Amino acid sequence: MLVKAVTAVSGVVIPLMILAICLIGRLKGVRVYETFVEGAKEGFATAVRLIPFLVAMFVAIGMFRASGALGIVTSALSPVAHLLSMPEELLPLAFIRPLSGSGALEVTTNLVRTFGPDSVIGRMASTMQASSETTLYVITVYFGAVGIKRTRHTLAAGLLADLVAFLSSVAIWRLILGLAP
Amino acid sequence: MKIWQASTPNLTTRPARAPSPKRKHRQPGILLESWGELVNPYIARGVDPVVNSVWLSLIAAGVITGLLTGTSEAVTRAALESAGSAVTLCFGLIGAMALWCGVMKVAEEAGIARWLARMVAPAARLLFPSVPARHPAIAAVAMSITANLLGMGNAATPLGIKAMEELAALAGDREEASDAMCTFVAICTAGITLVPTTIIAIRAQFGSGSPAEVVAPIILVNLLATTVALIADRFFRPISRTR
Repeated sequence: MLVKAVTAVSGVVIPLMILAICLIGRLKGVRVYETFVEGAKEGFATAVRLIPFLVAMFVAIGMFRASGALGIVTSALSPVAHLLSMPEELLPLAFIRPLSGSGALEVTTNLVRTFGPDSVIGRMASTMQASSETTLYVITVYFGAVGIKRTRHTLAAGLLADLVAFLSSVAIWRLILGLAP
Repeated sequence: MKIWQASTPNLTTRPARAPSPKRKHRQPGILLESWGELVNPYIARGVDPVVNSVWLSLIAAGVITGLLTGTSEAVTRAALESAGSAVTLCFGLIGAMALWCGVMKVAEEAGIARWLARMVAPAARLLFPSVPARHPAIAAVAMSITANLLGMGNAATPLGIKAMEELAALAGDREEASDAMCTFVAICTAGITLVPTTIIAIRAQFGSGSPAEVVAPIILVNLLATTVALIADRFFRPISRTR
């Protein structure tokens, strides 16, 4: 029920926020229309500036996915999955999650459909999908938008967070369902 | 914005003849620690070693697997299609970006941004010690994180970019991410969520007995991942700094 309530709130929060900001602006004597247009102009420029960065990243990920290299990598790593007591069906998801948002959603949907949403794999896949983010996309878009070329340690930190999310998604369901460690 | 303009070659002032092709030798940085020294040759050339190697590995793996398994045709098609879909995505983003940047501009002029920054000041001081309290960047960061938490996907990206622009303005013209940018991106790449709307919908669609039973585990796992991202950020911060 809490979930329903929060979902309902997030549905109305955007229109209410826009209205509140514009009303307060008007009360404070801001020329709301002109100011909005001025800001929108900047937003437009930013979105266009992102194109080359996203093309570079999407092309590399697209080529990787289409070649079937993912299957080879995951089958090579299945002993590692066994070692971590992670079902090997989840390996492709773990690999695609940081790379491609739509790709990961596709893999998760397939796993949920094949094994059922309330199966162990279905629950683990749901948790993996929702508790992590498309790290490479976020880095490309956020740094690309402001022209940063050296992203320092952010990719390492993001991938580490993803790895922790995957391993603990498996661990938490093993714990809840009382499976042998 | 200025960084991008500066990197565009100025055609009018360029000499008629191109300079000699011999590559200039750059002095390596002075204040580099062990990890920094390892990647120093790349950094000195303005290259991000991690992103570059990930990008190149993806392409190399794709092309080589394509050649070995006879999927080269699919790889070629995917390269062109992905390029197209990147542009489509950016075009889709234009509307949302313009909308949210417009709204944020009104919020700024009305003083709402400053008010919001004051509200979250204690948390901001802890996470972003390099950003002055009550700076508009804090407001943008707070709004972006809120949008992420509530699962407002199409608002989260524009607000995040807006926050990055504010942080970039604070850092001045440079090509290297500032400490505050790194922390903010680390939080975003950890994927902070409170309401995983998409996954609940998928589970309901395939007949789950209780589609929302995953919410508590997701929040717990996510909390752990975000904490690890923040700890990693704090740990790497002095090591990856090159100036």
